[in-house]
Amino acid sequence: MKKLAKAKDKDKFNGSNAVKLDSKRKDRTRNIFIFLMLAWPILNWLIFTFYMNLETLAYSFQRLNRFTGEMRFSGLTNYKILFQKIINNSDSYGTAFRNTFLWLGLNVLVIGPISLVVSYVLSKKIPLHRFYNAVLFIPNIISIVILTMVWSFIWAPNQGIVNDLLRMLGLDHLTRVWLGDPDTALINVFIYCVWAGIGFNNLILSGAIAKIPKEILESAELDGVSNWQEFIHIIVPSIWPTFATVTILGATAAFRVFLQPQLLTNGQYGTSTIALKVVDEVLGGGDYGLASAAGVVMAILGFIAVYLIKKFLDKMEAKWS
Amino acid sequence: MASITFKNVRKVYDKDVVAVKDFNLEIKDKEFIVLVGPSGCGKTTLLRMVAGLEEITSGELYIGDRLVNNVAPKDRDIAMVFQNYALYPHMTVYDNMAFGLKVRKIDKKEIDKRVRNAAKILGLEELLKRKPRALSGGQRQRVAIGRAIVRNPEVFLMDEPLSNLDAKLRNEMRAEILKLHKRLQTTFIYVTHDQTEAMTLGDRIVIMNDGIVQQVGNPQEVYENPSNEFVATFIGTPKMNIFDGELGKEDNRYFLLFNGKKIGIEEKVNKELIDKDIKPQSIRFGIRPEHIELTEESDESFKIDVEMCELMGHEMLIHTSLNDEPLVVKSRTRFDIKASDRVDIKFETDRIRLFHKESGKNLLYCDN
Repeated sequence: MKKLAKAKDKDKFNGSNAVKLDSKRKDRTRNIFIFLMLAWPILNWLIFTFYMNLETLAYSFQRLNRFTGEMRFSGLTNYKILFQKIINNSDSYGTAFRNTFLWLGLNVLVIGPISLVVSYVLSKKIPLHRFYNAVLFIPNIISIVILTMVWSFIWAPNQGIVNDLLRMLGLDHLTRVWLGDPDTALINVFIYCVWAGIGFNNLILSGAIAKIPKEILESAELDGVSNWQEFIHIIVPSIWPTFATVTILGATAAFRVFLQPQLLTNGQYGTSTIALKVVDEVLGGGDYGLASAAGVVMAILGFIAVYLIKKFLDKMEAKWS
Repeated sequence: MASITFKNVRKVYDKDVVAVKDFNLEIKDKEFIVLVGPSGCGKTTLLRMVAGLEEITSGELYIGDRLVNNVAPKDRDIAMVFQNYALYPHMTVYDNMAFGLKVRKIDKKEIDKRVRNAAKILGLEELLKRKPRALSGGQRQRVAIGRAIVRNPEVFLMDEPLSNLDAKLRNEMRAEILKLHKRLQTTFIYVTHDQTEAMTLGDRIVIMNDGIVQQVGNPQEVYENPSNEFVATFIGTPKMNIFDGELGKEDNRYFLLFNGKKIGIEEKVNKELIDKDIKPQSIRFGIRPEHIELTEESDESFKIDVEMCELMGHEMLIHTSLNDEPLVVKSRTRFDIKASDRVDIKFETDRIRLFHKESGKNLLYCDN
């Protein structure tokens, strides 16, 4: 009996050891899996985000010697040059600086709210709503190069549809070189951005509206709300977290805008942005120090702007949640 | 307060899916009517048509004397309580209740008075500043009811309002709703798939199946005298036991042939069968579990082998089969029976209900 009990104990002991070993093996496999899955994104972040931003910051305190190709520490020289250029609007830096913030306003105060209204209207299942949804999303699946080309054709001075239409209506005096006139170029690029930007936001916001429980909207209908009241009192508070995300994405995107003005006006006629200036300095002027300083300044201003916007959005969310 | 009249109301989805077929009903002012039936029977569609949330394909719907087929939901003077409460999650309890009144531009003082009064009735006074997410299921349901109360509507519509609550809370809220109806003296239309709720709440209940009204009547009538086999088995827990049998007649006396035995038909039923000149035929007959007695062996008794017993405290449910049909007996006198016991049972013959074999209709049912 004693022998049997001992054998049983031994088995029990071996059993628990086996379980421990198995658990250790599982842990090791799990850790290797986690490491392998995270290795690439971490490496990518270290090289392309951390290192590059660090180098940009370092470059912003250095000037390039064009003869020797060396970068030399120059203190705050790049920043001084940048601020002088912005204040004096030399090389359109002032305009670019202003435009970057106009773009911020456009994305946050115009494209976001317009997208919200469009999503709401389309959620009402108006006739052809599926068609409108598809049309609005098309700019997101076509290359920006093609889109801007088509846009340029529409507004072209001679064969453009807009000028042709004005001429047909006897409004010849209103025709102009829309994308080559400092009075209209910027607003034209803005309109392009609104047209091209609504589709993506609409997709996200429509999804959020569709997730509002049907009964809540029906309850509001029984309460006797008008469409406007429903939009303001039910829809907006219900999808605010999604709208906040769309707004933050729009705000951060404003500081990276350069392709649209570059492709539509080559950054001329008062349409440039700081991001485009950075691209121009790096690719054209070779002034890496100035480009880096501009990048750092915009990153700081962008961070402050996005922080303030986020704070406002969070405040509203707290009120409604 | 208002009556509601349905005249040949029909609802068809996508041209060929018929949700409600030719519905006719008059709901009296201040009446508590319960629409009950299995999922997909058309009861919620009917309620939504009253609310104006679904268009009526054909027929006429009156609230009071007013034809409301084309009247917008907000102008029907009705309030609805939804199954999932449908509270506005970003508003406080107070605002949830006040919102409908604010939209209608009612004076602020009046809104405050009505909201506080409703909160008092429903015991929500302490919760007025809370948001719905900080409330329990029962509290949310009270807010949903409060939102309806403050509107002083002519008709209350309730779409399975207790389905999301646990059993205990459901019982409590059921009593609350009854009290509320007495207090408000308003017409209530209540939709549920739970026959217990229907039986306990309704002045009258409307049993529906496949978009067709099966029976309208007060709970007792429906329970005692089901119009057909569907109603007989839908109302009552456990459901009525149904068997195949033969209705025979000898010397002006009807009898039931079942399982090789002749069961005498009670005098009153016999007279009705004679009055209706019912021919002897194959039939289905039903008997409720509480109308089967455990008895000594006799000419009228049947022997059964007990398959399973459920002791409910005050009663015992004995599960077995008879003539290859499942049978449940509800015993309130004996609790000593166990599975695989062999016992004798006897039907209370005056409680047997006779149904037409093909149509399932009650042979003696007359719709008053």
